[in-house]
Amino acid sequence: MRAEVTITFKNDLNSDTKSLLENRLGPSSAIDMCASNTSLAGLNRLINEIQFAKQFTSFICLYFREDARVIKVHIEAGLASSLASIKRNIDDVVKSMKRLCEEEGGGNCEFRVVISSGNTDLQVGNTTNFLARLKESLTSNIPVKAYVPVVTALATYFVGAPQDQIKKTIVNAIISIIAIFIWSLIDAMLTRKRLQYTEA
Amino acid sequence: MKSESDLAVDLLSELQVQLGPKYRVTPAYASASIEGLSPNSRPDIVVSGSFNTPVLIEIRGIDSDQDLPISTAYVTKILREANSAIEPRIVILTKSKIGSLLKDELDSQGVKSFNATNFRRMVSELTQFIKGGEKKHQEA
Repeated sequence: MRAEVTITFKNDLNSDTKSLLENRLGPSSAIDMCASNTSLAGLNRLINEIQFAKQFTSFICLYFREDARVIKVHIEAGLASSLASIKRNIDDVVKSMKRLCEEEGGGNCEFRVVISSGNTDLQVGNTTNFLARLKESLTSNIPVKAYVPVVTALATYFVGAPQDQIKKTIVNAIISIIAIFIWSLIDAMLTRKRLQYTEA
Repeated sequence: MKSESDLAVDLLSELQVQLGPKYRVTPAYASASIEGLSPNSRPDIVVSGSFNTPVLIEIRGIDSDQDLPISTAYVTKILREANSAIEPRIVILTKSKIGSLLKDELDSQGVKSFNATNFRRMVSELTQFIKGGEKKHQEA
């Protein structure tokens, strides 16, 4: 199983990708040896473009420079890997690239991930922006979000004093809807930018 | 938005009409020329002509305008190696962008890519490519 992480930085990076990555991730593993243990073995043009490599016990990372602001990381996990385990490997790479992004790339970089096996792309992951997180927060738990204003309105109607009953019912229902919206806004602001996966 | 399998179905019939009866346009699973290969080394469509130079068509990245992964080059390499006995020409149809790293590798493998955004135009270019290749083969 393999994955490709594309990191698009806000600013141009130092043109010496190897030293840039060595400063963050330590010395590179032997590039030829790492490449020969991945599905990119034998793809000579691509292998010549590898700037940096890291071999871990369960996966190998090959780093490419696509242009001034884009780094691509090819992650190749062993035969015994699962979707969950390769996602953990991806998270490790994303964490290290986020640090690079904060210190060298102007912050706020975008991540895109494609997870593949054999001839098939399995999942695609993208970092979520604020609007996407707000949409997700608003559209999650819809029954609860509908239940609270309805119960608030019913309680106000049946429990409250008889004068201005309808007006108070409507006002309280609107207040509870606004409260839910504000909670969704807070939730979207507090939730960190993360990778969201969908089927490819 | 069309999925890759929808596009493959439309392309099968349209390409057959454009190329005429001299060519056979078949889905990979029904193609005698690549029978017995594992699903991992099968293309989506096979076009066989009167000469023994089939065109293997791989459809990828149809519902995304992002870059195709560089490991696409691995898929084309496997396709070529698995079908080396029939010396195929390999074609990728995609709506995604092809970055410079992948483009260089595909060029070195002799893989041709076509943009699938405009279906009619893609079919026309693909038809010309397939017929052009057959002419070269006849001249040789």
